[in-house]
Amino acid sequence: MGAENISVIKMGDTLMVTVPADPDDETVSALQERILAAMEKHEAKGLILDLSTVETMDSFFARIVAETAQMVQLMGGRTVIAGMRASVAITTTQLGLTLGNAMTALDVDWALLMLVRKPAGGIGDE
Amino acid sequence: MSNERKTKKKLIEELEGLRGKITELEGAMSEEEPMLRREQDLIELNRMMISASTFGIIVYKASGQCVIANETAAKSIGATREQVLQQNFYHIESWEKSGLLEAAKGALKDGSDKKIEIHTISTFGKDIWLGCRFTPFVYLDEQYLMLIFENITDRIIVSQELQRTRDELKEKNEKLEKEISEGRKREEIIRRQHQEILELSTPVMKICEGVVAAPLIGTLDSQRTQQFMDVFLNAIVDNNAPVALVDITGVPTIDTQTGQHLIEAISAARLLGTEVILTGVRPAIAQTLVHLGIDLSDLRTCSSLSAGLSMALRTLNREVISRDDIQGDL
Repeated sequence: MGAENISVIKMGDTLMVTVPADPDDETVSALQERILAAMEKHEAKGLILDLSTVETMDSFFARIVAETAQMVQLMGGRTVIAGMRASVAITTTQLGLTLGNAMTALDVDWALLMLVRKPAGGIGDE
Repeated sequence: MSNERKTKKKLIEELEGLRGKITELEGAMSEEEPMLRREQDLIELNRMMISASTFGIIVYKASGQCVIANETAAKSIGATREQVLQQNFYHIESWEKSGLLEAAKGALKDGSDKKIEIHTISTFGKDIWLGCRFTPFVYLDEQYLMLIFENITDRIIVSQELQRTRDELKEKNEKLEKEISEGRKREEIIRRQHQEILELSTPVMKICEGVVAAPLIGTLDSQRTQQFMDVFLNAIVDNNAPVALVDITGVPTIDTQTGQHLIEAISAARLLGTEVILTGVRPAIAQTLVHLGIDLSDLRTCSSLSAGLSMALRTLNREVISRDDIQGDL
């Protein structure tokens, strides 16, 4: 698996990235590069990371996701992590991994709603 | 005078002749004596062997009359040798009862060895087990029956004891096996019920569109947390619920471990993209949480489930209003 099968889709102000099912460290690093490059190119305001196909999450992957969210924020965008599986959520919590300040959504639908409806913050920040 | 002297001389000659004969005879006798003594010795040896034998040896004539009996035989059946020597085996009651008589008759008839083990109360009142062997033989045209026997009472008692112990052990073993299988059954039932309780104790239900509620009852240990997390997160995903309520009204006390487990479950739900509201924080629970220093500050909490529900609806930009108010607006 390499960087070539990562697709970064631009939808208006938002970038959509579907993370492959079982990414290795190389792919994860390439993913970050591609996202940041696209952010710069399209001047996007939001990033949706779709994790619905991911079956396992290791500490490196979690760290890269958290760091990417931070970097996107620095570049003027907001990150929503969408569609994480219940089993992945359980193992991630039990390993003590966190995704930093990234917002989370049940699926891509909700993520889009969050970015469109409340450009200033997350669901609970009213 | 000469006549007298003649007679004297003759007598002396005769006397000497007789003396010679005596020495001759004595010589012959002394040659025979060792042979006789040897025979006597052998007879004596035989008698000694019979009396010293640890087996009871009794010899009967074909008529049933006892002719030889050793001390061991008499002692074994609790009698004296003289008493045994007076017996005729055709008239001994215990022989008939124990089957000894039949064996004796058989041996005499067939002319062959008969072996038999019997339990009897002897004529002299001794309760014994005997291992007997009848050997018929013929001596000087008369048939005899030799009975050699051994007191095997001790051996039989030991083997009976062994058998009884073995039976007891077998019985106990069976009982134990039964108990074990029953124990296993009980264990199985307990395990199944435990599993059922685990499943029953964590219901998660959808209470309105986009909101699920999980009322927790009892204490949370690691196993239950695992189970709860599984059910809870799957319910969130299945119902596509952006808000979830965790109600701890039914949790009697909270310790650091329970608090940690709660936080774990709630963080996992957050990763899914769900807002979790902790409801049912009673005054006692609030006090405990503060005293224990469990930090729930990044968690939204409510005192009751209804307050939690209205908070959830507000989060979803929804509101429950009275019909009167709508009519009033109209």
